[in-house]
Amino acid sequence: MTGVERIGVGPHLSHAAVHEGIIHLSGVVSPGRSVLEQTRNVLAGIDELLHSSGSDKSRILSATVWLTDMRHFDQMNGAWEEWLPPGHAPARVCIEAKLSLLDFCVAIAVTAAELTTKRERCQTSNA
Amino acid sequence: MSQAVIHRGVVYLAGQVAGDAPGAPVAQQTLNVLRRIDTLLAAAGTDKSKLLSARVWLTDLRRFDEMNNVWVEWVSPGNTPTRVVVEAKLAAPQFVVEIGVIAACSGP
Repeated sequence: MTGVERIGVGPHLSHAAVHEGIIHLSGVVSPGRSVLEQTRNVLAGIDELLHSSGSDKSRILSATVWLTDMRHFDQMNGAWEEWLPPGHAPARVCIEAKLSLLDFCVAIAVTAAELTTKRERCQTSNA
Repeated sequence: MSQAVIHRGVVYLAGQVAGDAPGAPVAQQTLNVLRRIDTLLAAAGTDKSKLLSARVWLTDLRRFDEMNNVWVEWVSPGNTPTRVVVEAKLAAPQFVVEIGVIAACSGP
């Protein structure tokens, strides 16, 4: 069995878990005065976590978006579209749900592929 | 559906509900759900220290702390999975929590 690398390990959850070239992120929330601003901050948080995990937003495989109020879809989607690199949109689901962190209106969780596999990184560093 | 599917070193579990504790309080249902997950992970040749992600659905988020207290006692310290908790209606009214996980495992 190959190992699992974890980032941001806490008592309840880790922010990221990396296994066999696949990165799993916890649901990310972030403060902001509007859903647009919250979404932008969430996506910036996802950028940071993907970077720490050896990936970036061009390598996202799937995304789940939870909105506490579907009337905010366009605000979320505006931030989403300005963030995504053209031609690299992941598969996505967006649904309405109450979030466990009650101060937030949007949460996003993604899975992504590593930019390079660990083996490729080793080969690069040995070259 | 299958309770677990294994592919290339990853096991995907079906969402688990407290089949042995229907109608019980959230804490008791959570404990039962996590025991079922332990059993399925063992059948897949792995355990909770290899969890990659967990999705927790509660029918009432006011019960979050009751679920979370059981969860934190159960997880493998230093090996906690990624997690999302949201409120959702479940398939049957006697269940108040459902958890679906993905874990690393050996095997095909």
